[in-house]
Amino acid sequence: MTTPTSELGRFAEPSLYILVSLSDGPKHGYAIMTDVEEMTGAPLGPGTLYGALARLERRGLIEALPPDDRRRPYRITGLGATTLSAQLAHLEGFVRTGLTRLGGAAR
Amino acid sequence: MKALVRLYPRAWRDRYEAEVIDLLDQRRPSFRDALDLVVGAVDAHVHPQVGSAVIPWTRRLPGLAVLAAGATWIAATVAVDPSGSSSLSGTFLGLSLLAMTVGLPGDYAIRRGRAILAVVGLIAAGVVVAQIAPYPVAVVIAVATVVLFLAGALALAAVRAEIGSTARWALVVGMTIVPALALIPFALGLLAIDPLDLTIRWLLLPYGAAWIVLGLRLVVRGSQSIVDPPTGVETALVTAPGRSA
Repeated sequence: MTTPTSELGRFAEPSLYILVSLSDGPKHGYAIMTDVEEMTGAPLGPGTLYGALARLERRGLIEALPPDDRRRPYRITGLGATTLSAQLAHLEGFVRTGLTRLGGAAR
Repeated sequence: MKALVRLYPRAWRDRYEAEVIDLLDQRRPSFRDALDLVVGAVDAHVHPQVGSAVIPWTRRLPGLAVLAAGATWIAATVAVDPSGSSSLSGTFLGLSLLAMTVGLPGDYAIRRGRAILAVVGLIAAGVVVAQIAPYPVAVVIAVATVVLFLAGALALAAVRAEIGSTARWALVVGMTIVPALALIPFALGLLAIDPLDLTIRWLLLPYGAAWIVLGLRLVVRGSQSIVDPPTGVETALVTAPGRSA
């Protein structure tokens, strides 16, 4: 069973960014923050980042790896990857519908 | 900026504090980051994800009752109509006393039933004596009875909010006995008061503010409510031999 990130309220969007960021390998908090900023153009605040990380970890979508000094890397879990895949597929369908309608309106 | 991390709950800090401090060390935090940390701290208290289980909404009911008691008390103070043509203040006062009573902890009544019964008995005796005693003793007894009720209710709310005994005594004395002592000369007619000048009523505001502070603390921390199933302690007390009758 997958846990949709949409149930995370205002943390849904940051959680999606974090899952995408972790989909190519483990990262610690600062690396996730800079990666998300590169992807979206807007940084995640520290409170939002760790609020989302705590929720994702509690739901088993990511897991913490042993810390390296004060930095603790996070890794996406199998459940997290499945959830992300379903979420992106849903978004892809939404984007395709939107572009199709825009194209139809332009003709 | 790092001091803001102290606003987070203990369990959250044990888990994430070192990481967040490290993150703050690696970038120059902005005002928006500071605001984000404060909002995150409130969220971590209201929706804890680390350590203890998420607090069910029913455990926030006592705090909401205490908050309502404080808000309606302040509303009653503000709504006083010197001309006496509006009963709004009295309505708010009634609602406040109701919320104070509803907010009192049923589980605490089980543990300290005799002490609470003794205070209720004193209040009842005070009401009777104030009716039959000669002036000015009746006035002093009446004020003392009201203060005993207000102090007792506030003390119970403070106990429920897990305020330490020293701070609890300071709170109760500062918010009830001190304003009452200031009111006694007026109640006895020793100091004149203009019926249209009710600035003296602002002495009552800190009491309502104290209930709001306790209510916020209770809402954040959660507490046993009358709709929660009894915990092991209460179950043991209720079913203990000699107490079940």
